[in-house]
Amino acid sequence: MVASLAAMTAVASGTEEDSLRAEADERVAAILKLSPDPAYGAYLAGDCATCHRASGGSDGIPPIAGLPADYTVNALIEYKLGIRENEVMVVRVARLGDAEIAALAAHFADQKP
Amino acid sequence: MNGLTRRQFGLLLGAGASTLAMPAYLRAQDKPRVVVIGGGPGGATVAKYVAKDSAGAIDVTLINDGETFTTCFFSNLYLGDFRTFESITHSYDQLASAYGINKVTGRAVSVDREAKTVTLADGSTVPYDRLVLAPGIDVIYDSVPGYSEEAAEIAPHAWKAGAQTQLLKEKLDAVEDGQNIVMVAPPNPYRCPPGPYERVSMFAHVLKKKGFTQSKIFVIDPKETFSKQALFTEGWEKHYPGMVEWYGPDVHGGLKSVDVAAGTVETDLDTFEGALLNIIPAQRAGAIAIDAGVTNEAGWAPIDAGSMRSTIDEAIYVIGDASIAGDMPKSGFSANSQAKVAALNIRADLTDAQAFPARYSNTCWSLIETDDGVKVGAQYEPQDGKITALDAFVSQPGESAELRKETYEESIGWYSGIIEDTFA
Ligand SMILES: Cc1cc2nc3c(=O)[nH]c(=O)nc-3n(C[C@H](O)[C@H](O)[C@H](O)COP(=O)(O)OP(=O)(O)OC[C@H]3O[C@@H](n4cnc5c(N)ncnc54)[C@H](O)[C@@H]3O)c2cc1C
Ligand code: HEC
Repeated sequence: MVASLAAMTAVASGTEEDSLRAEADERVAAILKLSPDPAYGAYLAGDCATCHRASGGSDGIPPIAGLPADYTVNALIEYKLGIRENEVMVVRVARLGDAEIAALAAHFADQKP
Repeated sequence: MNGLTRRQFGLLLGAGASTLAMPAYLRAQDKPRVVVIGGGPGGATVAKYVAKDSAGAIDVTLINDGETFTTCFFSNLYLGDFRTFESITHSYDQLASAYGINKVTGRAVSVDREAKTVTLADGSTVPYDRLVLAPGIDVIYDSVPGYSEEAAEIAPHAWKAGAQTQLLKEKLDAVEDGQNIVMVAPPNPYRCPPGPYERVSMFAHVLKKKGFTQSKIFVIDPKETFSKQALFTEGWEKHYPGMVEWYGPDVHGGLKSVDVAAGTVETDLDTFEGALLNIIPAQRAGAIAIDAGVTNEAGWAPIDAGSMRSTIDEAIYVIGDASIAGDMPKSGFSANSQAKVAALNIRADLTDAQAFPARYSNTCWSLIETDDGVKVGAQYEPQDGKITALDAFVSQPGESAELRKETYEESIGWYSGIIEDTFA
């Protein structure tokens, strides 16, 4: 009984995961098609610099300067959809729309760590 | 105005003549001038972002009364022996060398809003087109009966970092087993809502590490509740059982007076005795903001939520602890965040930079015991004329040790990050 319940949950969360993944992929692809505004990206990135050092150094927080745009977009969408869970990132992306995510990803892709 | 003059000047010279060909004195005079008073996370950040992003088009002067800056953030970790004093003290050298900011070490004593000049203690004056006030807080000594600036040399507040913090550390290290510590916590609003309680945790950490079993820490609080209360209370019971006693106003009945020579804090309920008294009085904006006439009756500066511009004087911006920033707590993170919004709006005022809608954020981490970190944070946007919290989170009681350790490690990353963002 317990075992089959567990199996059922696994199946259920499996499909849930799959559909989340599909949703994420779709949004990432759409965002990567936008043409971001560099001045907007630079302004928005000010919020990130408090934790992610522009120099790329890291102790306790991963560096993001120089990450490819598709990686950053995907990571931010994963925080948005709850695939990744870190509260400081989750609240941050909650108020970022597609234009903001595109601008940020383009900005960091341009940075040299 | 200045922006127009500058552009017309460029036209007169013709497109080929670069500004570099102009004599230096002409260039300097022609550039719009931004003067910043206060070199903390608010002031140093706004100076950096205006200078960096305007790439030489704006002349930036940063006035701070100290040669270096010691952060209040992580000063509790210094008390708890997690950090050295040197590691929380920073220089302004890079701001001058990398961005061409004029750093002036001195105290600003007055602002002439008509003439748009700032006067320093040595009598010199500095003209501005836009002034940013980021003086942090002043403590109101006499808000605690019996307390004074002189008394703070015996019973430190250590709510401004520097000599006061070192004095508090010295006194903490001298406490012997069986001797008590009494903290008088501040009323709202004050800088760093969880700060007093993180400090209590660090006091307890030091006493526990020395194997003390007889000492107690009493907290006399004017507030019914405090920031992250459930988390601190849980942590104190877990790590320091029986050591910390917190008294809210309904229990102590009101603070009557302190006697720093006798080491006593008298309340309606009882007189508390301590070998160490840490008295944290009520606060208001740094004196220069009050003298400049940009504060309200309570001593804080009202600002426009979309830009951090003073609602009293269009040529002045007020950021950080001195401002009334709606739902945002007075924190180093908030000051740094507000500085970036102000910097963009100042550039849009003075040059042809584009302003974007304001967004603010804050996170405050606190350390309760080794590897037991907690956090609270939110994102903010202007709404109905006020900076309003839109998404918030707070650590939960009962979280795993692993998550708490991650949270602490995050705070270390944040400290390096905000220091680089502010001073480098
Ligand atoms: C114990 C403690 C722990 C804290 N922990 C945290 C934390 O973990 N995270 C966090 O985000 N925040 C924390 N804070 C809060 C944080 O330190 C403040 O909110 C922050 O420093 C405010 O920045 P500010 O730029 O407004 O002012 P300040 O940092 O106070 O800087 C103002 C500067 O201006 C100078 N100044 C003032 N008037 C003049 C004048 N007339 N002329 C020249 N110079 C002048 C001052 O000397 C000072 O150097 C803590 C505070 C305390 C006390
Ligand atoms: C309060 C500190 C803080 C701020 C501010 C912050 N981040 Fe983060 N960020 C973190 C932490 C901590 C992590 C690691 C979280 C985890 O373990 O999932 C992270 C992870 C990331 C990652 C994933 C990195 C990787 O290697 O997979 C990206 C991308 C990212 N952040 C982008 C941003 C952007 C863009 C901003 C600004 C809009 C920002 N962050 C602002 C703390 C912060």
